Amino acid sequence: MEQEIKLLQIVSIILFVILLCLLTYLIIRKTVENKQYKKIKERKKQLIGPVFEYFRDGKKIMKKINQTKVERQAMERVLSEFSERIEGEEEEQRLHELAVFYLKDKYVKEIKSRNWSKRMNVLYKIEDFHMQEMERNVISRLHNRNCTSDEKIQIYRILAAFQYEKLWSIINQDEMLSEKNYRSILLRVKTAMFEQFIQSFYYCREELQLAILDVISMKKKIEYLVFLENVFEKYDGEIKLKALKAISSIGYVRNIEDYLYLAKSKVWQERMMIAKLLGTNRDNYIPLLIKLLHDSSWWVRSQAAESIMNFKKGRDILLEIVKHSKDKFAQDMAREWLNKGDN
Amino acid sequence: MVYQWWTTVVQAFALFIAIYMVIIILFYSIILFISMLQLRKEYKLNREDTFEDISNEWYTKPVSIIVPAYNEEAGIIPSVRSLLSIDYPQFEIIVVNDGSKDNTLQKMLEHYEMVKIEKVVRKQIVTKPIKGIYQSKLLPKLYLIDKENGGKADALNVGLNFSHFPYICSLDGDSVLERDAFLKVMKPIMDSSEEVIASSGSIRIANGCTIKNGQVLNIGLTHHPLVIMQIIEYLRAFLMGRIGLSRHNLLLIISGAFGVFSKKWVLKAGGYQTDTVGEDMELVIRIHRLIKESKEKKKIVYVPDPVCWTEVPEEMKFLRRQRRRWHRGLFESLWNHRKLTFNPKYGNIGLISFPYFWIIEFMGPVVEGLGYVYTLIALFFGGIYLEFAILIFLLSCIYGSIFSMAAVLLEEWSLRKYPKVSHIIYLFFYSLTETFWYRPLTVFWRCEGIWQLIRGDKSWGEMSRKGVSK
Repeated sequence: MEQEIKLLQIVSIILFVILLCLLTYLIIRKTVENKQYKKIKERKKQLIGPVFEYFRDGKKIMKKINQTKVERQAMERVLSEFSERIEGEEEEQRLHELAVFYLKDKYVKEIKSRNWSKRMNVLYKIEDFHMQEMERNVISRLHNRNCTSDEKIQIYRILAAFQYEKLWSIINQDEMLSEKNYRSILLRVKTAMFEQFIQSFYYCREELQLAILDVISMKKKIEYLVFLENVFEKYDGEIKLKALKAISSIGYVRNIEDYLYLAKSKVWQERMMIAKLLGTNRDNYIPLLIKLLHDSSWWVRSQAAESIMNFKKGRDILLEIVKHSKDKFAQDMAREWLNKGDN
Repeated sequence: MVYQWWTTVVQAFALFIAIYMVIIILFYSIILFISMLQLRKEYKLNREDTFEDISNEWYTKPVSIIVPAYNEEAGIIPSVRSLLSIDYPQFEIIVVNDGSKDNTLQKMLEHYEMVKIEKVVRKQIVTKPIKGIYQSKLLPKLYLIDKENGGKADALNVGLNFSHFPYICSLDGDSVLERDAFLKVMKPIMDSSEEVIASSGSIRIANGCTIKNGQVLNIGLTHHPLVIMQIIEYLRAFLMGRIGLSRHNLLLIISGAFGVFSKKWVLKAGGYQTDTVGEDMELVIRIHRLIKESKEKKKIVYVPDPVCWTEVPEEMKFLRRQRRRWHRGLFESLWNHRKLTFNPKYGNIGLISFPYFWIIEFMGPVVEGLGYVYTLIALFFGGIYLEFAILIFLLSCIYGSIFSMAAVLLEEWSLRKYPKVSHIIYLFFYSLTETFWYRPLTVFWRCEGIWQLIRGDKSWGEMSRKGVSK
């Protein structure tokens, strides 16, 4: 027992020392951090005025600033806040100039940092400030062995925002990317580059194909209607469905007759799409919409009701259904859309 | 002779407690280490940047927020107001009035100008009958369902049946969410392309903070000892425990106060179970079981960030009831699924999570209670036993404080919600006192919970949300 007690004593003392160290570290840390935070905040206040003037009339402020850590951080924060608010090419150009002048050296160093979160922060800032000068650094980071998947995705987004010409070939090769990743990359691509993706659609990975169709439907790009109708005709499964979704979000087809068979499809998504398409057509398909309002799927019913409401006599049709239909679910949906009109 | 027999027993007993302590310390140290690695990696990551992309995302998944309310006339209006101002592209709020005896229903109807609507609800889970469905004239995404009393789980199930969106979130009527909490909690679900099917966030204690119009204005620390101890407890539980467990998909608890689930999986699991007091944990275990049994690669995660502020009991009476209930809920969930314990078929859930919850969480208070009894006995024996007991006591006090401070450190690395240096010093001194009063109290209450189990007591105590059990 004696020995055990001795051991316990030693362990207690060691643990107690650890505890004290921990506490001291916490207190020092907090004090230092609070102080620094205060300094940055004060400096930020002083910087906002001159930076704003620079944005407004291009008056130089560069001499007034020393390159210290606090200065740079304050500047970074001021610029970040501005970057969320400003619009217009001239202002963006000025933002970009300031960022390059004050922050480029810092970023060049930090993009190679061993600290993952530091690297990530830099990558986001590079995009926010449109720092095309960093393109080379970004690409070399991409080829680094330790580049994590989060970093890669952000790098692709940056390259997309910079309209980097080899974008298609590098992202199409990367098998780690999901549909969602591709979508967020493609959303940053401008029309000329997007054209490249459309032209090589056939050679794209399936995830990329889906993302391309999605982006078309999000941006409602009517110029790709012919392309979509082709894809709808030639492909199967999810891609066919996505193409149809894009078509229906554009809301217009060359010949609706070609699509009417979808109303009898076994896939509810297809029935929903046709319900949507019919809503933007002439009113001679209303009987078909009424039929779709009695569908077994909630989504199809809801879409059918919405489409019916698009027509002038839509309210009357839905009222009629509320009064006379024997289908409780159809009645319910009609009522819901009638109520929505009230709000 | 008699004396010698006693010494052997006392020594063996001391040894047992010492070994148990070592196991616990080791386990927590490992978890702490995992959490530290994780948080250190994300240290000072500028999170707003990473969320930008989701909030712009056209495809953001819509969420149905279900708020079960039983006698909440005091808090329901501000609570709904805080929900209405959250930053998320598409959501609906479903308040379920679980047969309140006060004016919860009238207050909601008047304040949000709600009108009765006709609606057929698909009964995917059997519940108590619905008395009426209302929709706000001002805010069409706000619904109220009036139903017969059936308990919290039953109310959640009604909300589940009614909800239109693919993700559901259960939220207690008395908590306040930070505006971007949903963006953050949904991020892992969207990032993983739906591999993550449930996700929950940090819960912090609102007592002592200034909250106005459903927004946290100022974060402070109360001077109420019971509340400070609970703050320390929550920091430890969330930052140390859950991050560590979540990293390896071992999470068995998604707090009922704030968690998001994929509706498909909740329905597959049969909704919330109505005859337990721990319906939140029970559901998570059932989903884990389904995942393993269907051999799908799905995950349940905890995100250290999204913050939900909730009020905790300030009085002994209510805290005691809460702890007894929690402990019974823990047992019921573990017992209902006891098949999983040490069952290799269920992977790490069966081999690590379950044994952890049985041995450390459930049996912990019993062993700790015995430890306290031992200290008392040693006082009579005196001499070397006393020395031993005092040392053990001291040791447990120090290591407890170390874990508490480590949790504060993790908080400093991640959320940094407590702004002042004095907050840290406060938390330190309180954590030193834990072993002397707070710990014995909670140990005792949890043992009481076990006693209630043995006697077959099923009450919820004062804040009774339980209706008649089936």
